Amino acid sequence: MTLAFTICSVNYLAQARTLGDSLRATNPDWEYIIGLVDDLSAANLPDELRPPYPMLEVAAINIPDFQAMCDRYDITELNTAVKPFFIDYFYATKPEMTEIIYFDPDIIVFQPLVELQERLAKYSIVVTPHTCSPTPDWERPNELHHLNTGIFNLGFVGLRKDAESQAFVNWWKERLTYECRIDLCAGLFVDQHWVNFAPAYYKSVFIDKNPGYNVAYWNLHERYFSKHDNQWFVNESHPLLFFHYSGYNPYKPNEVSKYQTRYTFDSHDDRNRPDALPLFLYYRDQLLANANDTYRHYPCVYIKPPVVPRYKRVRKALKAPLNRLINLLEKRN
Amino acid sequence: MIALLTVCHTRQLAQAITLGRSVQQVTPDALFLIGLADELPAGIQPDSLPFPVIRASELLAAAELSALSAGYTPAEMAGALKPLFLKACYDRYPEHSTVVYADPNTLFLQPLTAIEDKLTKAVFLLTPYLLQPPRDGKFPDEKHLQNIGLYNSDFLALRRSKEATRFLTWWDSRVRTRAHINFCEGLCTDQIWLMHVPAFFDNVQIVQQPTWHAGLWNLHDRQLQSSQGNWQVGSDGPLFFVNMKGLTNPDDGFFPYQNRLSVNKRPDIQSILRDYNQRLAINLRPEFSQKPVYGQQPEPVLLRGWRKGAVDSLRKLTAFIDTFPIPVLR
Repeated sequence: MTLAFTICSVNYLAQARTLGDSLRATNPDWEYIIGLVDDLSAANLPDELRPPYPMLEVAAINIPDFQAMCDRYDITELNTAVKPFFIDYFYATKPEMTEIIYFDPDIIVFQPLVELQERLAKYSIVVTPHTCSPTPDWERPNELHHLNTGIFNLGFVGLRKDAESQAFVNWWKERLTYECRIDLCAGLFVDQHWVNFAPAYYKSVFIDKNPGYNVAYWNLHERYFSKHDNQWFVNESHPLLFFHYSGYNPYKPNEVSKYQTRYTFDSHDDRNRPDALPLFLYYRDQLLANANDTYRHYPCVYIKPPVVPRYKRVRKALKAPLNRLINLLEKRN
Repeated sequence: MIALLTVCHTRQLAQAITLGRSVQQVTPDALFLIGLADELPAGIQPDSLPFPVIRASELLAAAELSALSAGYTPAEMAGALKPLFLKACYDRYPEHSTVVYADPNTLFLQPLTAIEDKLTKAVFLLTPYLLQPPRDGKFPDEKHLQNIGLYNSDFLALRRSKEATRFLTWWDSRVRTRAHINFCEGLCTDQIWLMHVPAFFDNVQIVQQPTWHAGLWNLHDRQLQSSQGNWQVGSDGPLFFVNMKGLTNPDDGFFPYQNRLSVNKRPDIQSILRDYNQRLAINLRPEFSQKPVYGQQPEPVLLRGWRKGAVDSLRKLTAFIDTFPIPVLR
């Protein structure tokens, strides 16, 4: 059996429900679970806001020293760091699941993912690159951003339960316990950058370049959309399989994503992408129908107040003589 | 037929010739070429060298060459020109269906047919620095590898094809002007760009055989044994090629601060180094010890001994000053 799951906090439950609805319509025999980085008893959701899908709170999956991880990480880091821990929990507690597919909550699935299951019959790990061709300009995101943050987008990963994927998950867990941080200069970008290692370390990794997979702002330059007989196609040739609405704000319908500068939905702008607009409007309607307005105001129990560094001038003064010494030591002889 | 190219400065010509001799030994009909990211000293005629040399000035106009040179260190400059040299080799020798790049510090010990065998299916061969996660907290760690790129650009093999042509054009378009080392910007010579290759191009094979591309960064995982003049890698078979970068000169390469491999505890590595140094000694010439003409930026200063320790401690201290919590006084 196939298990699909996502991870989010209560404020993203409209997205997780929309993903669940799309899976129920397209892959009805898959089980779907929402991994919740939040506390349901604290949120105390009224009945009409309880999603029609099973939810699994992060506190229930027995992550060793989870409290220390909460202290170390901000909300983005924490939400991504728990990914392999959920996978491992499913491996251990749901032996009937032979394949485990992770989707970010802001994805929706458009078609039965039969080909993905065929891939997982042959390979242990399936990942999708951000882009399968060079980026056309130096707008954001371009090839340099992907070099800093990861070649593969970890809003999706498909795993077949076997020794190889278990080894990968164990290694990933170890790394994310301490180093699921964003520090580009130090080679770190949450859970995603680490997965660059997968094809070097493991033998059964498939880099899936099907343009119907993981369509998002980072690959719009190589993917154009059309609709025939009520079905969406990419570049006329490939059925659209799943779309990732990363950074999309349903209240700013002219913006493709807050993370990109290449395209807009402004019809007066020559970077306009009218072909993609209906896909985004469709998603916006789904989110709003799934109570996005209500969910988004729920605070996450794991959110900490942002750290504001104080006494910057004092710290700078203290460091000045040390930095002078460093410069002296680093001088060419 | 195989064409094998290396790219170097004049000061590495002895290494390049040593590589060329090793190629001749294992595969006599292979074509070996030297791409010189430099100028030859006045006393050396190109035809006095045992292998054909392509000079940077044949490929780029003087104005572009000096503009690039002004912005790069010598190592960055050699990286910036590598795709261009490889493309020249690819274009000038169309009868060679396999084109290989190897760093001048490489030594081939088995016939190059192993490359052609893999290229019957694949179009590109890449060799990762590490084939398995390091099991210690030592340096280089995986984060450093992320910064420099996981596939070692000291080796690359291509099968002549549309896909390979497309790759060479793309690689040169990215690398010629973006070969600086700047981890925060995602830049690291020609090498980090190879991270895109498995995503952008089809039929890329990531070679996971420990007999390929042994070096300072992976020898902790690979034990060498010599039997009747043949080097073996553990039980994995004969050593195909080894890269001496950082072993002959610890300041050379991306790992001057590596602390995982102790060569003084590895008689196998000492022995292969001795063998290599003997081969190298034959090709050393005093005229080669010339300061690189291209790559005007200074190489970064490497700290050794107490200086390194002092700077590391001082940096830890400044990082602590930046982050330690001070209670708010009102």
